[in-house]
Amino acid sequence: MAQVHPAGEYTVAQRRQIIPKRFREWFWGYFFIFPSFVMFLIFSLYPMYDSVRLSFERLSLRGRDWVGLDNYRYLIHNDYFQQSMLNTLMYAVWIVPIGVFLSLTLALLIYRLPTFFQVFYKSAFYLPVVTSGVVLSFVWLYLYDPAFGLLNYLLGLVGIGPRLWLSDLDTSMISLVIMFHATHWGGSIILLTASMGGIPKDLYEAARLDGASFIKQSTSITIPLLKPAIAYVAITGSIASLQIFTEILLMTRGGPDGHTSNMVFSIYEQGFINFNFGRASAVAVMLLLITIVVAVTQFRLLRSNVEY
Amino acid sequence: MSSVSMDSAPRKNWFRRQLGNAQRSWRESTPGERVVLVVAYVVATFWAIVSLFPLYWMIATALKPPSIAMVLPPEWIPTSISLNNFREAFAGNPVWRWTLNSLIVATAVTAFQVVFATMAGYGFSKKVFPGREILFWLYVSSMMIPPFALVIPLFRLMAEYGLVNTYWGLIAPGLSAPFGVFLMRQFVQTLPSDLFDAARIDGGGELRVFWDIVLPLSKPGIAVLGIFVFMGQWSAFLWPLIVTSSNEMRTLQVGFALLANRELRVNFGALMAAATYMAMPMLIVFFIFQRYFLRGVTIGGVKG
Repeated sequence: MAQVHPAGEYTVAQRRQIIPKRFREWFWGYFFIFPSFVMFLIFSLYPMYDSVRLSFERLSLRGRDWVGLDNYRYLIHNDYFQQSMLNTLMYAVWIVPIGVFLSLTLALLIYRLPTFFQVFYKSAFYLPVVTSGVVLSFVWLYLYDPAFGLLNYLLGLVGIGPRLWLSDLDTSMISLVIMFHATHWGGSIILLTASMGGIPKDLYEAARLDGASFIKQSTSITIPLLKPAIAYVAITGSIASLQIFTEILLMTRGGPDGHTSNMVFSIYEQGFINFNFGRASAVAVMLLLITIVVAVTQFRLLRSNVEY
Repeated sequence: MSSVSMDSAPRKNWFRRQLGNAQRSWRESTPGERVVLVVAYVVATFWAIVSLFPLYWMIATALKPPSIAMVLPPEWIPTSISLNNFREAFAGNPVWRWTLNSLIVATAVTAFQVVFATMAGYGFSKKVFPGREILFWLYVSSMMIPPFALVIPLFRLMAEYGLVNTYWGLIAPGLSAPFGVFLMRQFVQTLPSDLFDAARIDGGGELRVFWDIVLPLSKPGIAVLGIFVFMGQWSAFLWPLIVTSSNEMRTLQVGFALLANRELRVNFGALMAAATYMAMPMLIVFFIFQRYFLRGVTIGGVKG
C-alpha cells in the first residue's frame, strides 16, 4: 500500500490519493446494496412500521383514527381470539420438541449409513418440502377423509371405527400436527447431518476404542457439539409452527368451533373477511412479539459455548 | 442424482461400489454397531414411506380412471391409466392462464432477487463503509418477521398505488429479499478478494469487476438462491390469495385452492390431478438439481 513518509505522516500527495480512495470504496459499497435496500425499505421496514401504527388505529372512510389500545383490548377480551392464541402456543408445544427429537434421531441414524443410502433417505425426507402447502393440504385432505380416505380404511381393517379426523373436536388439531410432522422436517435432517460432518472423526474413533455405545457417543459427543445446529432447527421449527396457515384454511377453516384456528388465521379472518385492518394488525403485532420472545429465549437457552 | 454419470457401464459400477460400501461398513462393524445399522435402516425406511407414500398416492389416484379413483378397498397400483381426472380438474377453468401467471411471477421475482441479492451480497462482504454492520443486522433480524405481520400494510400499499390484481402487485413484495442477501453474502465472502484486486489493478472499473468476476464466480450460490426463490414463489399462497381478485389473475396454487373449496371438495380424483399438476414441476426441478437443494439447505443455516 501507500509508502509512509519518514516522519511517520503521509505526504500531501499520498493523502490526496488515500482519502478519495476510501470515499470511492464507500460509494461503491452503498451503490451495490442500494437496489436491495430500497426494496427492503419499501416492502419490509415500512410495512413493519405501518403494521404497528395500524394496530392503534381504526380505519374508516374518513381516514385513520387513533384509538389507542382499543384493538388490543377488544381482542384480549374476545373468547374466540383467546382460543386462537392458546392454539398457536399448543401448535408450538406439539410441534417443536417432537420435531427436534424426530429430526435429530433420524439425522443421527442415517449419518451412520453409507453415502448412497444417506443421499437416498435425505432426498426422500425432503421431497414433501418441495411440494407446496396447497398440494400437501389436498393430499392429506384425501388421506383424512372419513368416507374415502386411506386412514379410516386401514384402521377399519384392524377394527378401529371410522373417525372424523378433521371435524372432530378431539382429533382436529392433532391431525394437522401429525401432517406437519410427516411433511416438514426434511430440511432440518439435512442440516443436522451436514453439521455432523463438521465434527472431527478422531473424537468418534477415541470413543469407539473406549467401547462407547451409539447412544453414549450421541449424547456425549454429537449432541453437545451440534448445539448450534439444534438451536437453528428449534428456532426455525417454532417460527414455522407459529405460522401454520394454508393447511388450516384449506383443511379445517379454523374449525371445528375454532379448535384449529391460530393467530395467523385470525389475521386473515379479521383483515380479509371482516376487513378490520386495525384489529388484524393488532394480532400481527402480538404474533411478532411472541415470535421474537420464543426465538430469543431459545437462542439464549441453546447458545453454544463449545469450541472444537 | 445429476452428479452421477448417465452412461450405463460406469453407472452399473457405481451401484456395485455403493453396494460394496454398504457391505464393507457392515463387515467392519461390531455386533453392537450392527444393531444400530439395522435400527437405522428400519427407522429411516419407515420415515421415507411416511414422506413418500402420500405423494405416491396423489399421483396414483390422479392417474386412475375417475370411476375407480375413490373405490375402497383401493387399487394400490393403478391397473389402467387415464387422464380423465386431469380433464375434470381442468374443465371450465383457466388453468393455462393460472400456470402462466405463476410462471411470470416466479420468474420475475427470481430474476430481480438474484441481481439485487448478488449485488448486495458483494457490497456487504467485500466493501467497507459506515453503517455496514447495522444494515446487515437489520436484514438478518428481519428474517424472523412473520410474513403475516406485513400482509395488511402491504395490501394497503398496493391498493393505494392501484396494484391490486396486477402482476406488479403479485411480484412487488417478493423483491425485498433479506434471506437472499444473507445467502449471497455468505457465499461471496468465501471468494478470494485477491481476484477482485487483481482485476482492479488491470484497470477494470467496479462494474466490470462485478460483471466479469463476481457474477461468474457466484454461479453456484446464484443457482441455489434461484432454485429456492423460484420454489418459494411457485408455492406461495397467502399473498397471491389476498392480492388477486379476478379468476384470470389467480396463480395456480390459489386458483386450485379456491376451486377445491367450491367444486372439487369430494371429487378426490380431480383434486389429486390438480395437486399432481402443481407438484410435478417442483418434483422435476428437484430431481434435476438435487445436489443444489441438498447443499442449499445448509448454506443458509449455521456452521456447527
